[in-house]
Amino acid sequence: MSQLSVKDISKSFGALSVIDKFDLELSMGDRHAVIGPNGAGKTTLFNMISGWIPPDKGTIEIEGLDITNHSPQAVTQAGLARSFQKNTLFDWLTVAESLRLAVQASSNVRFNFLQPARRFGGLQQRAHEIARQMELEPVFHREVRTLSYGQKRQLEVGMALACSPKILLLDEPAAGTSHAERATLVRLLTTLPKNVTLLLVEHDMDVVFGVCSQITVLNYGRIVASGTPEEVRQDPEVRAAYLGESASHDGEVAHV
Amino acid sequence: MEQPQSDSYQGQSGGDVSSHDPMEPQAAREHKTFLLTSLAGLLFLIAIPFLVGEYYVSLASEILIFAILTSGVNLLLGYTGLVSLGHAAFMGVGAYATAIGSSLLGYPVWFVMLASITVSLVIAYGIGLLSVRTKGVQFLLITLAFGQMFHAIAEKTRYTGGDDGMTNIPRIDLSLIGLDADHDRVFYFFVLVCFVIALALLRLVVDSPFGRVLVGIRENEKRMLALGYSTFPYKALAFGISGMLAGLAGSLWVQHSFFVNPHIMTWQMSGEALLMVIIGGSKAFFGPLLGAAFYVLAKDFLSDITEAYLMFFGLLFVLVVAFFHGGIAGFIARIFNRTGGPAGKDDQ
Repeated sequence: MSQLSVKDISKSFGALSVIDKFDLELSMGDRHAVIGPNGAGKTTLFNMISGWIPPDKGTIEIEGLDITNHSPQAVTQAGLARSFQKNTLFDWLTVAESLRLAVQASSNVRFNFLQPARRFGGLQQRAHEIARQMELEPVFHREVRTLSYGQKRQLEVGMALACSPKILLLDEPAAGTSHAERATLVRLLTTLPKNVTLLLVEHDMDVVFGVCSQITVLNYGRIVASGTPEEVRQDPEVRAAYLGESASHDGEVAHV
Repeated sequence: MEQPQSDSYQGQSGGDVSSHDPMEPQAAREHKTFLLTSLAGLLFLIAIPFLVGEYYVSLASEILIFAILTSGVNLLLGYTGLVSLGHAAFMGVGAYATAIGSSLLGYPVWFVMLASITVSLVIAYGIGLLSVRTKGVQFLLITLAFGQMFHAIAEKTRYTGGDDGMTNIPRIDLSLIGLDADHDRVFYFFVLVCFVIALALLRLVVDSPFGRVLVGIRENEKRMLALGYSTFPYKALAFGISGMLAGLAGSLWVQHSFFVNPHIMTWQMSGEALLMVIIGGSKAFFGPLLGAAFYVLAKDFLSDITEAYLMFFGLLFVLVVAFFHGGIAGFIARIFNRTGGPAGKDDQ
């Protein structure tokens, strides 16, 4: 049984069809990227899978559990966590506090309102582990707003990872980063535990080819090609629709 | 981050920091600062009746009662990021419940107080369940609407004297321990005990995992949802606790002034509670207490001179918002920082 199964989902906003009959099957440990030019529907697709927008039709299942019309929080509780393209962080909290909140979400103490939070050392330990994994240890006690942009992107991934998800959805993790920051991110993403399934939307080809072994190419809401990076690279339709274009837009800050 | 390409693998790697104690040094230090501040503050509050005359003891009671109200309001405003314009209603519920229970029905005041607190908690939690699904201006308006509704009920109810309200409301009976609460000094100590219990409870709440969730909601509710938190029940319970404290304040208020009328639950009262919180400092635990103290003392001082004391308050409010981020508490924290004292997280 596949871990994430997206069957035949479609979404239109008025007359505009944003996603048209999209299918995707992921097994545990997969590294899968969805790419496509601006406006291809990638973010809408992500929002549907993670529960922020209901699809018009089709079904989404995690290990056989139908989550199609679940709320974002229910989807996360079912084992699918996501990051955001635009930093969605707790600016005035420290990295430690942010990660602890993320860890606490899947623990049973989250509704405890009469014991000091600092007593729950287990949460703190797990938060620290995630920080180490995301190379945020040196800034563990710093307020998020004081981090560099690259570090914020690392935290963005770390927050999702701290939910202990089975499936991790990363929405353009490298959006807006410099070359150096991107190299760090790629390295961190390649060292994620193998039992976490990874699905990412990304504009940057270094990240996609560096991290993923399977790629789905989206254009105007439809799947144009799907396969290994090599197969996709060779596909003439893909070259026309996306790769040729992206080469000339290298380094652009993507906003889908 | 401006980083040369060549050393992208340096600078961000962990190094030997892993040997660090993962407990947060800042949190531990803040907790210590909090305990010391509380102790010093408590000693000062205990000393007040021995230092000043009856009139100022009565004002001090007023300050503590308002501080219970505003500290509750701040659980929503400062910690959760919700602006409620309906909290006077819960103060009114506590006040009227106490007045009806003791004066009209003749139950002992201690029992009536417990009942008043419970009733305010239940009503506030119910209204919270309905209102916290909205946010921003909508939330403000829905709480305002509920507040006005309660005000209208109080005004129209003949049983409780309508617009005139009720008088001769008894204070708590402390004869068991040989004291008479009709003396303002004695009553002050009773208010102080209630105040300490209320703020200790509040501190437990904001310090708990639940309290951290509230702060997360204030910082970024979208991320909290993405992390898997259903935020409604948290916000509703925060609203309930906040309303419960307002109810306690109301219950003490009628005993303090011996009377109650619908004025206690006007939306202006809710607005003044918000003003007190912001002037005192919504980012600090004791900010609302400072705000209440400033409000009561300045009102006492200004109303001797002019009827238009609220105008000065408006002016002051503008000054605080424009120049003193973090209110009085933030200002104090900055002074301490400059002299190398405890770090204040309160100022922006």
